[in-house]
Amino acid sequence: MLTMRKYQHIDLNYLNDLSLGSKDFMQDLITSFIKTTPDSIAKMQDCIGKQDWQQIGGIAHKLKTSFSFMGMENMVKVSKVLQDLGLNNKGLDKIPALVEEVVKEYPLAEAELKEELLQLK
Amino acid sequence: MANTLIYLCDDDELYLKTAVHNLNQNKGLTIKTFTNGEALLSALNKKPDIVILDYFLNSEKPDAMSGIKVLQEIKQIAPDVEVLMLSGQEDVDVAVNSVKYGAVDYIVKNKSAFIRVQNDIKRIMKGKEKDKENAGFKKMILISAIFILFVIIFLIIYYFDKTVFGLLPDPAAPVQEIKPEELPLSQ
Repeated sequence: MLTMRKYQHIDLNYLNDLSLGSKDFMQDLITSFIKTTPDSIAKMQDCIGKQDWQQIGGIAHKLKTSFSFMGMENMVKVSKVLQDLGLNNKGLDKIPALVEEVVKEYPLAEAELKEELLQLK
Repeated sequence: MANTLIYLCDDDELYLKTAVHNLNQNKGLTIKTFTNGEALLSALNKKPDIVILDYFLNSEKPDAMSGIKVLQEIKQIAPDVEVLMLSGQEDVDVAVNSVKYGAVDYIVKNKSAFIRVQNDIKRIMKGKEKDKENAGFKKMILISAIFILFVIIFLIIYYFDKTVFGLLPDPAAPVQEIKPEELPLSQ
């Protein structure tokens, strides 16, 4: 097992466990995450304009798992709330602010993930 | 778990990759992945042993088939295929629905999910091997029973109709007396 560095927005210990000690797998997963997550976040922003709350809930549901792999604890909590509100059509007025929180925090986590990718190479 | 074909279906490619990476630690598993239920159903003719299916398959594409719908179709097309349901939510309704429609287990995608999936796979395959053994044993008993039945029928026929289609000598027929001079060796 690798000893993981400490970061402010991510914690890669869980990903390290899932990778079963494979640096290549960690790199692959982080790269895939960085490649796909911005599109999902952009889709959520689009959905606010369309008031498609169900879709926001669905995307948040999927992101929640990815965020948990990267140890983005706050994002896991936010996406869980977004999932519950969106899918149950409740507290819809809170959704835009929560999506905004994801939009603001994601780049900080991404920067740390890119730093980790350099370490892994 | 020799030669076990596993179908893994999840619309989250990151989760698929991680699941394959973890399940591949077990020898003898062949894993095929699908990102939607429609593709999985069209490949059911390859007869997988186990399907691992995400409950919320239509999270980003609402018009895609849901996990429950796919589960129902699998059970209709191939009732012998065992299905493990995965879900990102700890929800009693999801668990009850999964089991109601024929899933053998409902696993929440938490930190122990892959361990549980692997344990379930081992348990299912052990059960399938036992079923095969039992089926072989039943077949053997059936063949033995049929054989014994034939012997009994034969004996009954022999008892009532001593000649049995004239092929065997009638035990009730009078014994023919042979004089010693009629014997070929007598001089």
